Amino acid sequence: MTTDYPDWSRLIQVIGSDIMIPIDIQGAYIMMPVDIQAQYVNLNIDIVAQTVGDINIDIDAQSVGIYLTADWNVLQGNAKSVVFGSSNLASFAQDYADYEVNANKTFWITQVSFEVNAYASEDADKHQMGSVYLKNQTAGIIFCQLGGNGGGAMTLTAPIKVTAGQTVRVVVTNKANHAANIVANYAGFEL
Amino acid sequence: MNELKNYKKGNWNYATVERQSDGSLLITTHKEGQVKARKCRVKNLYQSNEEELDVESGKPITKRDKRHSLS
Repeated sequence: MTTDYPDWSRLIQVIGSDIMIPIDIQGAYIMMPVDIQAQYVNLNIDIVAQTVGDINIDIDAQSVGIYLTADWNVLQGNAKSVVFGSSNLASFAQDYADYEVNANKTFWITQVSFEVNAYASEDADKHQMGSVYLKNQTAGIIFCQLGGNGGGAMTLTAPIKVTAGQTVRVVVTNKANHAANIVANYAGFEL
Repeated sequence: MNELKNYKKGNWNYATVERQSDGSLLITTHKEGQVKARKCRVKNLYQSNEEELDVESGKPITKRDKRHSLS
């Protein structure tokens, strides 16, 4: 049912199962209240404007899931974790292990950690100094480094991006005055 | 797929790489959804003289052994 207005405009009520209405609005001011009541809605919006003001979104649904990227990738099975262990590493000696990111993949590293333990029991209560660093072996540049007594951990708020064909090298260094076992871990997601 | 190739392809979620006394690396990988972890042992990983070794004995895997180890 339509209702005419004094200015000759008309209220339109459309009832149908499949409706496509291409709208080209060219005006200075638009107010378009939309009430969508449907089971599935695909809403593609392309806004090209100099400025966009406040966008108020009121989601009233039975369940809405919003995941951080890292969490979502774990859920999708894209988690990647490498643990590297080197035993009986001499004082001030280094050891390393490589992983080359496969073609068409990108590895995002979000955390690094390491642990240092004395190799011999008589050194167990001494300082267990050590360090770990991640290196892009292909490019020859160090991503990040971490050191400490007994170990340490670092969560990277800005993930390290390693593209296909690049080799990640994890390097551990025993900085204690005795032989030690060092375990390092770097993890993130690859997709 | 060969276990070492599996590591290189990145077809896993978790990998443990352990340096062995002979200088080789023992690599254990696991992919979500798989029951068992996969293991391989390699010397000079990613180097031109890379050599895959038997996980238990640490002896080089011959070409014939490699054919049998394909899964």
